[in-house]
Amino acid sequence: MDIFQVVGLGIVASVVLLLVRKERPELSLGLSLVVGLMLFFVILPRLSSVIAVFGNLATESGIEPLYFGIILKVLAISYVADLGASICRDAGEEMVATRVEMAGKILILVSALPIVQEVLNVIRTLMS
Amino acid sequence: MLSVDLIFKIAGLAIIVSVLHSVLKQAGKEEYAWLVTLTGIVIVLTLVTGLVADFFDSVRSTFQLP
Repeated sequence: MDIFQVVGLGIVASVVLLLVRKERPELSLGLSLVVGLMLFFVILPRLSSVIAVFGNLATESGIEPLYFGIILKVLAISYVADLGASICRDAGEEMVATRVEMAGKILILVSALPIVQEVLNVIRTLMS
Repeated sequence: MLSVDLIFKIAGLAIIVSVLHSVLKQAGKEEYAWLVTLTGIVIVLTLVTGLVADFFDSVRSTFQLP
């Protein structure tokens, strides 16, 4: 089962990281990044199956594919920005981490603009 | 996707680099010690960039991004 694999990998990695961080702090950053990415790759097939199911639901229920694409894009941006920010925070660079997170938020806002305009149009048509 | 051996490979590399570093420092060759550490960092970075490239590709494919 995937959860055993993830937890096993996490425990082994944090024990090894404990040793590496004491000896060579600069190498421990690369190692923690590798572990984070491996944990993502373990969970990737489950994630893509969930996305496929939601994709079918969206197309069946007649939602415009644009909106589902935006949702996926926002999810991807938030995930990657969070990974980058936590890696920077792991290295002790708090300022860089907050900058990465802010850039992620702005990108999410930019990609969600079409939905906001659509909502405004609907409201305008209702009002008039 | 990758098994656990990558973790142990990097950990082994880190241990070797730190042992070499301290040995060279004891022997009084400070700059060689730092050269060894630098090569260790470069090797780990090349490994990591390969994995990060795979990560970005798989994110791009699962989230159907352009």
